[in-house]
Amino acid sequence: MKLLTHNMLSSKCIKGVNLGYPLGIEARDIKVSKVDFNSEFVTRIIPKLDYKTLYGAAEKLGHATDLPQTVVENFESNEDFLQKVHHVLLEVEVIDGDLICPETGRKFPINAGIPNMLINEDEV
Amino acid sequence: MENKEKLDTPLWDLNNYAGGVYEPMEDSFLLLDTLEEELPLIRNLNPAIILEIGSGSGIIISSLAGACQNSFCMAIDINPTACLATENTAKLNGTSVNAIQGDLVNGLKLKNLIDVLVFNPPYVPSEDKAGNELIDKAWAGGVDGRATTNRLFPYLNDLMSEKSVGYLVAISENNPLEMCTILENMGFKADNIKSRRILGEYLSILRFTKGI
Repeated sequence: MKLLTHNMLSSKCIKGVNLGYPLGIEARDIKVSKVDFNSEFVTRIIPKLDYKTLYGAAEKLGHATDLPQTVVENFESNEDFLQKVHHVLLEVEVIDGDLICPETGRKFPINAGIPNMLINEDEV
Repeated sequence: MENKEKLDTPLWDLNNYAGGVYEPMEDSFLLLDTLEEELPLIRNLNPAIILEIGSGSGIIISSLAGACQNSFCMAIDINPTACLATENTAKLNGTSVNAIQGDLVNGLKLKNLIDVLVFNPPYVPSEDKAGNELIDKAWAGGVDGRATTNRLFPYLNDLMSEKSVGYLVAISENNPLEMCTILENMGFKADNIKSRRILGEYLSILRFTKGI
């Protein structure tokens, strides 16, 4: 699970959960791989992100050292910033671990890099 | 890599997932053919996020991922084997798809994030008791074959971005005309853009758009 995916997941589907966002992360296995940098894509995705959630997730995984805590001004022309966002969005992956509903503590397991967001019928 | 003009039929190899994943069939190929024709429209949108619900083998989302290299491609499937097969098919084709195991859009943040949506639902009319096994969930669509699609409709307005397009597979028993009316009543522009008769089924591809 890449952190861009994490940025778009929520546990609101659970009955009684208000926002279900952001999901906590407990990572047992993290993989960092090289993904081609595409500045045009990163520039386009930044306005769609919940940046605070991205920063929090990167920090939790120990990959926020160089990452600014907020989106920098004129980020479109700041290649250094775009590279850093690219790294945490697409190159850092949780292979094994859990996502945690912030309101109920319910865990969603991540196995083989795939988050399992299924809930039981009695949770809907 | 340069974007290609054609949508290549992707490679797939389900040998490691035998019997556990819906094999690509005529409906998959009709959807691929349609998406190839739609590529200019899709590229013109410059989508940031592309989502396929019920990706199965992963051939559809993998071919889109290959054709839209400036997009983040995601796939949701209720079947964990299909999630693995989807990511594997993407790799086989030199691209990347991010799978999530889930039921429809449950688990997704519904904040108008999706620019392109593809859904080849379980559309075959079936008795309610069918579809208990995971592999049957790939085809069994309830009484009018629309049980799953009907469950998706209420989420679409919050799912789709301000400028977006979605593609749905349907058969005549699903009443595609009525499906278009439902989508139009929700504020989308909806059309039946492709039809093909295959063995025992009359298939359609419905397109719905917002803001374009």
